[in-house]
Amino acid sequence: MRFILYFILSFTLLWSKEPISPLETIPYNEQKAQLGKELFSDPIVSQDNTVSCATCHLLSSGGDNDIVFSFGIKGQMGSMNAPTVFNSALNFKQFWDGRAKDLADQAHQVIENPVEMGDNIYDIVKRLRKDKHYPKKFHDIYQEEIAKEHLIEVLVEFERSLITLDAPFDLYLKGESNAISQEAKRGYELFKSKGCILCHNGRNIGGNLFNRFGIHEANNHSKSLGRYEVTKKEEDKYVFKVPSLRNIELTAPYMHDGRVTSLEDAVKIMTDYQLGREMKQEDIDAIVEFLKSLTGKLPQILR
Amino acid sequence: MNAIIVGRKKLDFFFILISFFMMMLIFLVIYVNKSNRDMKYYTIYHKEIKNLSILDQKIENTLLKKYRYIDYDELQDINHEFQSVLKFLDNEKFLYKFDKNLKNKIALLYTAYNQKESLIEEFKATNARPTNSIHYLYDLHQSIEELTISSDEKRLFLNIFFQIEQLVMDIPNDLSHLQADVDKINAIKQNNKLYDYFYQHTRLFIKDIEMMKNILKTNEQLDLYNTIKNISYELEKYSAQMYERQYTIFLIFIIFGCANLILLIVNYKKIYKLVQNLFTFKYVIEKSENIIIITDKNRKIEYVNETFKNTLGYRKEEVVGQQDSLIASDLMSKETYENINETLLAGQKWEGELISRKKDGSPIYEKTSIVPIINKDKIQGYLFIKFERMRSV
Ligand code: HEC
Ligand code: HEC
Repeated sequence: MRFILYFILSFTLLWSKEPISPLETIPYNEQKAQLGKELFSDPIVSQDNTVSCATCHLLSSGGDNDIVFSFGIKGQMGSMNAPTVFNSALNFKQFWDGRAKDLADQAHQVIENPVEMGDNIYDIVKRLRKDKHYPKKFHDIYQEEIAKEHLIEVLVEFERSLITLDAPFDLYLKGESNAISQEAKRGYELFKSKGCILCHNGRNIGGNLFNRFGIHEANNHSKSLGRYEVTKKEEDKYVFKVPSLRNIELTAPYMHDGRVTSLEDAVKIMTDYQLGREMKQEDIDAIVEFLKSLTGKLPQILR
Repeated sequence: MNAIIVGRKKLDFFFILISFFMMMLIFLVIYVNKSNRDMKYYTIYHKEIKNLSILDQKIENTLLKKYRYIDYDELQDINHEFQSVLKFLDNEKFLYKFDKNLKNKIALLYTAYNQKESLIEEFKATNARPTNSIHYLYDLHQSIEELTISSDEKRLFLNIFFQIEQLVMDIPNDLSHLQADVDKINAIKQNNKLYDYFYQHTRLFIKDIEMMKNILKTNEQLDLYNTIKNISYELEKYSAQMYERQYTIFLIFIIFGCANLILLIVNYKKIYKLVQNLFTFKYVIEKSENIIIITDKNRKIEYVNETFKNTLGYRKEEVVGQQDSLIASDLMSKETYENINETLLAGQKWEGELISRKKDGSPIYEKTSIVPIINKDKIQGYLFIKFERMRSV
């Protein structure tokens, strides 16, 4: 009997390589990325010239902001916590509910979102064309008049450059056994053996599947219905994109609605809601320690 | 005989045959070029379609790994590759080349793939949950001796473990039995967190396993595989037709080419005979008693026979290229020469007696006839036939 359980478990745990792989840069066009960087922090892309991408996605502190819900144009409040833009190019879908299939799609939607930037992308293009220095910069790259595809493309190229390399844990994976503490190593083992790895895995430690929030806790206190808003399928209620755990220490508050601000609380929610088990405080501490080793270096382009 | 009319029928026919042959060759080169390009497109396209079915196979392989850890990044990469191949296939350059319906079929492929993709998402999400439960159950099983529960309850726990193992291993099992056991846990759980989690895990496990079965069943009914196969089949049909067409064209070329060759050989034989005859005539002319001169249309000497050489004392090389007036003499009146010119230019034959000069300056009396050679209504040259008259006569 015990033997059979062993057998099954060895099946589930039988991975040929580590279930998390270190980050590597992805190719991007430097010139476009630099222009994208400029636009990312320029409120010219919002309707009333008050909000830029960087208002909600602070590039100096983890690629998101520290508030639960971000303020958009005219001081309106959104209903979702802003995720980080770091490593977002690696996500299989964009947004908490995966309604954008890639970054280009995502940028388009943000710009036209009435709460966030509230603009028509064609109006931005018109504004950019009248601007003092953007027309020349775009022309240097595309040799033609600014078009909406160009605007989207430079933003996307910038986001592709935002890969945070060389987190201590990545160095550990690459063979530097002293890169992380003993406690963090224990945390990683727990992360694997307790089942976190089944949702948070791969290069981005998440960001490659959807799952229900509150599997073992039906009352998950969530206002948003998640993916149900996109698919209208009953089984997609409260289903969200499993977020990447990279740079997690910097991206508080946590969860789609930013309900908790400490990592410890986030892990507790996960063990209760997602794993459906109780975990000893020391194990939770170890996992938090592990999560803290996932903070990578600021991308080259921002240094 | 007033003038010599030259015909060139045989030669013309020869040129027609040759140019026909050339045209066929040019056509063939163009055709080979085009079919080569078609072939290349076909090969690329077909390779990508094959690629799709490999990718589809990879997805299928992943779907076999239910209740195990799955590398979702790999699935994501497969997904990206599938999308980019689809985009490549959906290219105007190819779409109307192979099959008029290809555009529609690619659209079908998109639909089929989108269905598959959302099914994969469901699979991934569903798979994570029971897999997690297995982890949980394993841990619980490990510590069951330490739990403070009655032996009846312990038996119930172990029973449930056993049934879940059977489910995971796909051993046919009566679900209602398991459900009943799980309901028993629900009845005794009260506010005990341990029972509650255990109940949640087992309850959800049954639910998710059912869901997984449905997902895999739906997957079997998906059209993706057939759609890919269908496109591949149509493409292969197209390529078979293409081969057939090439074969026919080559066959036609060979048949025409052979016919052309036979005609050319027949023609050659006729010309060969003609040339043979010409040699005979040339011999006759060389050895004739008459002095023979052939000039071009400007009356420059092109040919003189042996008698000319013997009678007038010029070597052949000395006269070829010279004007016929070389041998004219001042013993004839100017009018006579003018009369000759006029007659000849009118395309008429001239006949009469002339006194010419040999190389050494001595005069020669000759009966002369000059005939224009006419080819296609144009004077092409002149033929002089002279016969020396002895002065004494
Ligand atoms: C008003 C604040 C705000 C502004 C301005 C804003 N965002 Fe966001 N961003 C958010 C929020 C909130 C979300 C999550 C929304 C959701 O998932 O429904 C988000 C999501 C994203 C994501 C998806 C990340 C992921 O992992 O799913 C990306 C990428 C992104 N934003 C980039 C941008 C870019 C580029 C701009 C500028 C054009 C921009 N954002 C402007 C608040 C903002
Ligand atoms: C069954 C899938 C699943 C498992 C297992 C799982 N998570 Fe999560 N995790 C999610 C989902 C889904 C979210 C997003 C929930 C939301 O925002 O509403 C999430 C969010 C998080 C967050 C917050 C991320 C952010 O940026 O807000 C952290 C931290 C986290 N998980 C850590 C863990 C840890 C640690 C474990 C193991 C103890 C774990 N998760 C196990 C699915 C899972």
